[in-house]
Amino acid sequence: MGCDLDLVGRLGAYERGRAVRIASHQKVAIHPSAMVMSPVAMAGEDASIHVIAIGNIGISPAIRFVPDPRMRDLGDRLYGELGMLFWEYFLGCRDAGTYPQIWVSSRPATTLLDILADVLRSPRRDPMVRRFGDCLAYMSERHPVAGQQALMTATGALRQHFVTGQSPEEDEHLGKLLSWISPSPSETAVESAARVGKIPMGTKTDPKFDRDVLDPLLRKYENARRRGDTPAFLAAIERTIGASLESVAFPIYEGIQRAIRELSAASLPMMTDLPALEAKEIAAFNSFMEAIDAGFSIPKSDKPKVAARKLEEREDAEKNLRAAIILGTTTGQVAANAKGEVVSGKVTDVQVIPVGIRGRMHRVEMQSEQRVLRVRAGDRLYRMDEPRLCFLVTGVQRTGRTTTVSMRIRSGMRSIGAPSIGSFLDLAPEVPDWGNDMQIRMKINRRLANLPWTHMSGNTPRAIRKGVTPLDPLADLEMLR
Amino acid sequence: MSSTAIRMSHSPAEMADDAVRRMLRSQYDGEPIVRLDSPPGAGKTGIVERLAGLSLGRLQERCMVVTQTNEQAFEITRRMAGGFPKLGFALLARKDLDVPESVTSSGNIIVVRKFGDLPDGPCVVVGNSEKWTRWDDRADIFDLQIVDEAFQLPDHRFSQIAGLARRIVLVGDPGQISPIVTCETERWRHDPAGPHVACPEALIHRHPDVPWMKLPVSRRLVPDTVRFVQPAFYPDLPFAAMTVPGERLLKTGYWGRTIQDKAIDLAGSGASIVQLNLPAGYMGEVDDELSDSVISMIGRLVHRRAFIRNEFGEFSLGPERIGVVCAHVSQVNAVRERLSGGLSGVFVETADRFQGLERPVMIVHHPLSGRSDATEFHLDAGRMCVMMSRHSVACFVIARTGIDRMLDSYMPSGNRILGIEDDPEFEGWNAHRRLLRDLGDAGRVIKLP
Repeated sequence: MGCDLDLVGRLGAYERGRAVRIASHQKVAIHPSAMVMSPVAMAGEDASIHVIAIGNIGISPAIRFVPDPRMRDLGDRLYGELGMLFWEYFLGCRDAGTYPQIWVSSRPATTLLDILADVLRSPRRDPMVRRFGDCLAYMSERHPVAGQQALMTATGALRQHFVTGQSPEEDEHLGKLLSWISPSPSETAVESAARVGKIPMGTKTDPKFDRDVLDPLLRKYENARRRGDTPAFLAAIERTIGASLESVAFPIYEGIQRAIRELSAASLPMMTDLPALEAKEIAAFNSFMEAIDAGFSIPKSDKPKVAARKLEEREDAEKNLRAAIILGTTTGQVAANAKGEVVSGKVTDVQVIPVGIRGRMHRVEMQSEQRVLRVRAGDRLYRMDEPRLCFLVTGVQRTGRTTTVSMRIRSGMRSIGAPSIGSFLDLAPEVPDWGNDMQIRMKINRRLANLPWTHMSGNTPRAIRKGVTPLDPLADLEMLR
Repeated sequence: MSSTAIRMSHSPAEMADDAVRRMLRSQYDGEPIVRLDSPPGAGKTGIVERLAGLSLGRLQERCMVVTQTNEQAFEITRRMAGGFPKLGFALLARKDLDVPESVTSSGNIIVVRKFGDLPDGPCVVVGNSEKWTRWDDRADIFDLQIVDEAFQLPDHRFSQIAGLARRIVLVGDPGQISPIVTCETERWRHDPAGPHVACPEALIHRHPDVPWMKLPVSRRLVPDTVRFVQPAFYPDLPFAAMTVPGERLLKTGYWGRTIQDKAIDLAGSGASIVQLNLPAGYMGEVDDELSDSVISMIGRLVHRRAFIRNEFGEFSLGPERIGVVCAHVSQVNAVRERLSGGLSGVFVETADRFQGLERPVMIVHHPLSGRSDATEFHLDAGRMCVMMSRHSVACFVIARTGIDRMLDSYMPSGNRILGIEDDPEFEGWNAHRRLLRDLGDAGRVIKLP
């Protein structure tokens, strides 16, 4: 049903000729000191930055480029500069008690940063180049965590709030996506998207541009260097290369700025738990900076203990974000209701059952007419307007279109009380638990303080005989029955 | 290697017993870890029961049994207590978990709610994997850990319990649905022993010399079903059926003339899998006409007073002996809301929830039915394998015509990772095509009007 809602939204957008807003609340933080950047790699050199436009929200960019990133010394000079810039920014965030946030155009940019994070941390590289790699590694590490606010893609942020009449793949082109969100008055969204779709908005240059403009310049530069031409002549070619590359990076940068303006202009109320997500970001950032101070950096590959912790923390983050969206946004609740994750219905019975000498148990029965319901015995449900009231589902019975859900109150009876017969309940499957990641960390540290041999390299322990084996162990065992 | 390539010098029953003996001997030999791959219906729970019985009853050990869900824990505890009435068993359950009366009323089962109340000395304790990860007391670790449905346990969770016992046995079905991991796992995709990988697979990558046993026989599936399921879903795990052809049949008390009756008669003549195809059409997740066909099929079985003949006798085919399995919750609900009072005993669930369960007769809502494309979810070989292996007598697959054409025109995403041999997308696509082709070649596909 979730994908049906998306389809309905897309059809509506297509019919209207412009994007449809699908969020009732803003789900991403726009940090006032965020950096905005549009790195572009050289064709065929995926682990490179040829040009980058970099700045802050609402500010014109500084353009930095390398005449030829295949020349390692030239590339490292740029990376070193960026390393200083980033590190300064990270230190500033730490001093201010906040977290770094970086905006890029779309998913390919995050992939580029991820690749660079590994490549630039090679031990043989300059310390500031490695520091740039550390900063990128932090961003890349945070990016896959649900609800993270560190590394933002403009397309990802917009798509959480708008749906267009084009395919999700086309939405990853920032220019096309923006065409749908605020189409020009003189052409349709489809026409506008088709026109701007020819302008690269990712991390690669257009092949025609490469062939007709960049490649001749690069060859000219290479030849000049080989000939040992004067620095002034080389500098002139560099300026020409820079000017051509700026024409690629600048529109992407402007696109990201426009995306941020569109989100701000929507003037949506903040999702209730957005401050909690930002608090998580600050905690993660502080942890990273402490590790850097101690001489550690994010490993390129994870040993079993670290992998287990990271995976469980990511699953916890997913769960918390899902719960935050359901409880904290109107559209989230509606979507969850349609998918059968939120159970809505009327209370038909409440009974108080004595338990023991002075104890009491409250049984509640409700009926729902939802066609799709994902609830079964053993599930915990939380009242959406009062999440402290928690129910334990004891039975689910469907008769035709009506589902009777039998529950007992698990917690919250004293503070909230039982619902009354005839009242309507909306029950969510989970509530955010923002402290759970610390519990996970402590549990994994305890559990895997010593890694079991099954998760270490080396030989399997030798077998230690347990006694004399009967001739027929199966027959011998059957005698025990 | 097909099932026919298995050496038939022993009967299937003897082969099955020999495999169990080998497993039991491995425990007397003190093997620190054994991986046991089991085809569907091979008697995994029976093996778990026997291992636990051996550990406690003969070796006087402390044995922990790890399940993936609470329902599996209840089922295994019940089986063990019933199978070894002279031994005592403990069920580890969280404080507010309702334990069924069928467990609590057993005289040789105690329910333990706190780790501090775990029995001292020799014992068998059953609990789900998540619960076991919270056990902190390392002073008194167990002698044997048996992990049931091990292919549903991701390695990150196994790493947290593997140190709780001196010996480990991993029992599971390699053809079923992989562990459910909800978060992004791109970081570990290149790692064949990553935290998201099923623990038996990760174990073999780290320790290729670990003893690896395979059960050669299915007790649940009849030979006709093995003929289709084994080559499609278990190409590397040849196995035979315990029963002989004709030993289990679906029979009816009355004659019928509808198209569904043709399928029922075909099943009655020994065709354990029959597919019924509705006219082609692109549908959403819920296909009302297909849901109606499922109900219609159940109705015909009941109307014709169908009964099962198997090695234990004859049994009428009541609703409680029929199951319906679908890919999506919405499809489950669509079928459930159509079941009238008399048919409410029919068990309808998704493939994920049907794992570990069986019914004599199954009706399958084909996961690719009515789709214009094939996604990783719908192509998943494990999902289809679960759906096609829940029945012990007959299975009716209901689908829309056109799945074969859709598969033929399918463009794989080619989303491969360097160094990882598995290609779940291709394997799923290939398994679906193979099954459809084999059913077609065997004349098992009937067109519905």
